[in-house]
Amino acid sequence: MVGLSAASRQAFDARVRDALADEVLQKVVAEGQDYMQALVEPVRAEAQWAAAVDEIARIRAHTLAHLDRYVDEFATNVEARGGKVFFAADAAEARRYVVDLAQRQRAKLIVKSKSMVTEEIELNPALESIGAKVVETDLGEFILQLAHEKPFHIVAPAIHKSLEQIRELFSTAAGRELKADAQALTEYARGALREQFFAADMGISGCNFGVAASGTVVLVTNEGNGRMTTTLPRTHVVVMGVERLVPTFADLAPILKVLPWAGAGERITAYVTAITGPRRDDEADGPSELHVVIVDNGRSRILGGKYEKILTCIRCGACLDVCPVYRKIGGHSYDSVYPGPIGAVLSPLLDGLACHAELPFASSLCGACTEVCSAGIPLADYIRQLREDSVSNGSAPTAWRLGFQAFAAAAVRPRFWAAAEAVALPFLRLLSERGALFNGRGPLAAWTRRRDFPRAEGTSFRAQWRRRPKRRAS
Amino acid sequence: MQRRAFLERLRSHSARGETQPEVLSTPGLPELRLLSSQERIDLFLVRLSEIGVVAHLVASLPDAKEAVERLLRERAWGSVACAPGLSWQGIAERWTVEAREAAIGLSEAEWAAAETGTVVVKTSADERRGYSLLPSAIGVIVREGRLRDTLGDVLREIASEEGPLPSCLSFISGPSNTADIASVHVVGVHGPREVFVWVIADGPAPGGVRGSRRHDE
Repeated sequence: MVGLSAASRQAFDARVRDALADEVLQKVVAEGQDYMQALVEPVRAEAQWAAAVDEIARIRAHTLAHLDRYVDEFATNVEARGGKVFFAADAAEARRYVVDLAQRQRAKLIVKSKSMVTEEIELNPALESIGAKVVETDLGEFILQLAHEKPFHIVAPAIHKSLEQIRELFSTAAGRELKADAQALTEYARGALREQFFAADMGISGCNFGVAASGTVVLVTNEGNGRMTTTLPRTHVVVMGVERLVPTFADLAPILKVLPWAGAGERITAYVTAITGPRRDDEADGPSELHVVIVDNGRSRILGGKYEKILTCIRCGACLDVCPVYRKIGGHSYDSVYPGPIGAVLSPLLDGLACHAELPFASSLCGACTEVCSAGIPLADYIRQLREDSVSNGSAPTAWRLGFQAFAAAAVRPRFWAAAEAVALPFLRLLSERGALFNGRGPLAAWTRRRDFPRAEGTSFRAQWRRRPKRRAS
Repeated sequence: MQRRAFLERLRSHSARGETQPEVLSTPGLPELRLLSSQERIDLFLVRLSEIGVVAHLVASLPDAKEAVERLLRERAWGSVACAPGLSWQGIAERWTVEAREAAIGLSEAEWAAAETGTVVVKTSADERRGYSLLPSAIGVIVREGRLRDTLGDVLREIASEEGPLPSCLSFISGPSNTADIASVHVVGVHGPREVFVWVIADGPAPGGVRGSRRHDE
């Protein structure tokens, strides 16, 4: 039976309650969203932007339609340049490949640059279980590793942490009191992580885009940890979702125009690194081995279906930065690797609706995500369709389902409706204080705990309709 | 999973109809077009300074080397990491050290894009990845003939290259930076804290295909 268990519903509600009660989180997330909007909104209004988004949608849709061919071409070219390619049907296969490789190479220390797909396949615990030390080197991910938390945002993973919280974490790690100053804290991380880069046996990165025609792995970063991870250790492992491809370098043009603005509010990131194979024989630095793990893990199931466009996502994070629900409940309430509107769609599709039954409902369907999507994905429509799916396969909350059945029954029986209205309206007016109903009981509780239910004013629509001036049809 | 089975799974799901032709056409995006070489250099210098790069226009390669020498004297920097190629002759012999110990790393750009203030450094036997990554400061020379209007222009040129690409192409736009701590912008995380660019105004290079880069003086 696919269904949202009461326990899972309660766990979701509890996470949301915690987030709403967390004053630091409420302040920092709102500030982060406002900061991004101030940077991106003027650019988004330009005509060039819309043209670039259309172009991205077109390129990505084409790539998906011929994905088998482009994956084949990409893999052939990676191999031709001396890289190794592994095809992972699911998370377990991907983990096993990387763990076996680490074991074979006796990798004791592994540095990682930010990668959502390695979060998705839960790679770190698997590597730690064989005794390897895994160090996240993206500053945001480094903060989360110290805090033992999951990413809160797909681009800015530690956006919810205050300066003071980060100071405390870093001071504990450093064994001395550090100053509450972003520059000083960054300097500490630079020093601590630089040692790890030089000592590491293996570097693991994600892949923003793979270029099929040349077999190139493209990383878009700002801090330089991506370059360090792919330069210093003797082995570089790339873990990428199978949908990350574009046909040629030319197809990166609109993407590299939009992604840095949408994701970080800047014209271009400090670094775009294009890696084609391991170091050549005559080169003095760079990894001598390159392994590319191409991960399906549920993506081929989405391919060709009604949600296919979700695979065109370029992971810019724009939908998180405008979402009013994300702003209040934060990234961790979603309890999924991908939070926000993208997560509300992608996670149920990758893991099954049963695992994330509450996510399609964690949305106001306001459509802001659809409006800002860099790949033109109809996110709000998808969220609504997933609600339909969850109702038709029975994973919607029972009370919710019964409520709508009752509504449907009443709505087609005018007399019954009128009777219900006659009882309910005065009753609601009676309950409402200060113009609205707060913290109601019974069936109203779920709504009114977090929202004000407006006081019923005047007469009902049906009453007004009956009293309308009659006009004759001509 | 076996490659064939993996690809077959993708093929069986993909819904390619007549709406998706075999080859992706490339209708040009509306992109910035600069009229003159001077405009291009001007915009490049403005964009570089906007992203925190110290940029200068010089007349020739010897002038660029002179500017490097002056910088080293001013900062009292005694160590340089760079390729032993022709461009750095005279500088490389005296101070070259391993990239991780150098005060500054020097590179030459294969391409540059004016609109974004981007320099593209190509890894080779001479041009190590570390030169433009490990030192606290890096300097890059850009020949006018390698400067393009936009990043898109550079990407399309790379797409049309024949033969394998270099093992690493680093597109560098300003110093390493982050906003991961409380959304405060901080310069200098893992990569260089300072970036210097010298644009050599020596006119457009002939051709523009691989191997055409001039090292002659």
